[in-house]
Amino acid sequence: MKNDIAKRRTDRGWSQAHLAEELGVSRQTIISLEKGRFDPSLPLAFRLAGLFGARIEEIFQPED
Amino acid sequence: MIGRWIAVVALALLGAAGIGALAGSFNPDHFVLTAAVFGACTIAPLGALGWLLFIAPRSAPQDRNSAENVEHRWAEQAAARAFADILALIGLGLAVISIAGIVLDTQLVLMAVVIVAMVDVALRYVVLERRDR
Repeated sequence: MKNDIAKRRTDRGWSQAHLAEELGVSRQTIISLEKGRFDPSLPLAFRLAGLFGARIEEIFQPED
Repeated sequence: MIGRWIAVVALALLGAAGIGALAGSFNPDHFVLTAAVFGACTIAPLGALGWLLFIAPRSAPQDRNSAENVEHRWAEQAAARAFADILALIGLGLAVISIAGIVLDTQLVLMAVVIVAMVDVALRYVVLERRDR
């Protein structure tokens, strides 16, 4: 699953550690998410969407 | 909290004494030696179990989101793949020793299975971690 988490995070001037703390997950989870190597659970996806003020489908796009 | 630590010590001492006595009862000629060895070998693991049961729930911070971390996914995948490995290994091993008519020491075989399973899970976890890093 592709995503633009890294862009949204850097646009806000947040570090990976800060985002991890906001979401209550490990920093490694953020790293893996940003690289598209880890698909989040639905609750985590909703927390991400809420944090960025966007819909889940705006953050995550299926791979072509 | 003192009550919980007392429970840990009680579990370790009574559990080790019980296991030692049980092991000794199977070897009445060397009851004391057998009971002492088994008691000494089990007291630390039982203490750790007691800590896990009585202390950790109150002292270690509970992570409500632990299942959402990538590390949790790695651990699950490593365990699942290691289980498949062990199943295949035991199946193949059983076929080989059945065909060859080899008789193996049960303790040795079970110990080997436990060690292989633990090492397999650890290696698979490390591989998944390195791959996703």
